[in-house]
Amino acid sequence: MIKSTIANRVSKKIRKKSVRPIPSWLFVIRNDLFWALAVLSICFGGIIASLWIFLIRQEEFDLYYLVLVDSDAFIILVLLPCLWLLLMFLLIGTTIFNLKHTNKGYRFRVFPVLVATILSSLILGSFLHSTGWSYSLDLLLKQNIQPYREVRDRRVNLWINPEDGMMSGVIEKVKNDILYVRDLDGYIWEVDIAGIPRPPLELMQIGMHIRILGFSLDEEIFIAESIRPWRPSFIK
Amino acid sequence: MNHLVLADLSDEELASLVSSQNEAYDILMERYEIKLMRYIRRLSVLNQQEVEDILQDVFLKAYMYINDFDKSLKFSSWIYRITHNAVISEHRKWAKYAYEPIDQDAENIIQLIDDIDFGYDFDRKILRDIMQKGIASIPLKEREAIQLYYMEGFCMQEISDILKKPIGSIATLIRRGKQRLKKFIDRNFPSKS
Repeated sequence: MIKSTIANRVSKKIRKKSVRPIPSWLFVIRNDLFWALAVLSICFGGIIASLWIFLIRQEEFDLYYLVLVDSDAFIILVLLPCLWLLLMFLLIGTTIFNLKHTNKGYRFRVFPVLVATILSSLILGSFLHSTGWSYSLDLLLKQNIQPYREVRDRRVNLWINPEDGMMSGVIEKVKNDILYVRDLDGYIWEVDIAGIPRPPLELMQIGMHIRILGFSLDEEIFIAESIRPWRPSFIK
Repeated sequence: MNHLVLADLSDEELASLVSSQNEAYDILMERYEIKLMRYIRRLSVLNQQEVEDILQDVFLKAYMYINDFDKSLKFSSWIYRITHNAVISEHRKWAKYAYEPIDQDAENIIQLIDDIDFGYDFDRKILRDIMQKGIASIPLKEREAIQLYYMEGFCMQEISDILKKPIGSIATLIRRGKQRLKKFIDRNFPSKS
């Protein structure tokens, strides 16, 4: 027998209207969903971080002077990494939101959660990058997403500018200090590497796709000032 | 299980039985009716009828969400959290009225006074009356943290669970509230000697 009035009123209401508690599995799903979304956000954050690292590492910083003079270069060298970075921070925000909405998420302070989330994304991103996964993803995105391919193709075009000191191509033959390189338009260039320290042997392999900075003497001879691989050196 | 046997169980044990036995919930409501009514009155300036309406909604909601009760928390923290949310959602209705302290708080305020270092002696009785006005003057968030700690007797972890804020934030709210109270007393306490 209930003595107190409000409890009595509520008890009668519950019985009269046959009110039932919401089943526990709904709450379990809700809580697990927030955890799953948080973990998923970290994973996506890691993937985005790996692409960001890939772009940053691929676009060497000594090329950034181009940003000042070339609008294409601005899009390729600055805008795309910034977009990835923005997306990564968006996902980090999503992670924090989801973590905060788990059962005991309120116990965490925002700042440590923010730092932990950024670190997790960067560590995961670095790991994916070091395994060459980011290169594969970049390739996959280029193959399947038209706007992405267009932006990335501009990067390729940036390297078909021998008259501006930038060219790229595949090594056809190596003879002393001369590399015979077929550029992306199919022309064969004699690239003189006598003026630079000898590049590592793995870069001098026939069939290797390289990027060359320097200047062209005429329509066949290019004097190299630096040679770097087309794709990061860790990708075989 | 009959009413007498159920009455011996802890809040958490009763909560786990609610889905199968409504009587368990009746006992929980009996245990919390007075406490929660006082808590709502401490937090707001609603009249008796409005307080009862809120409490009725709280009990109904708590019943429906009983399966969401996290067994690793104390039941009191959980039901106070629901009450806190219900009162805050009604905040717009009563925010314009001045908060009036309730009589039962008088003794608990002494404990609060002891915790604030005023740096001088004072007449506790007079200070207690001024302190009640001081509590009414501080922001709601700080007032609520102070009320839960000093008037309701919850520990930091429990207050953190009720207000859904990290313990550090609760400690900050209480510290800031006490600083404001000290300033209020410094301004308003007539005899500092």
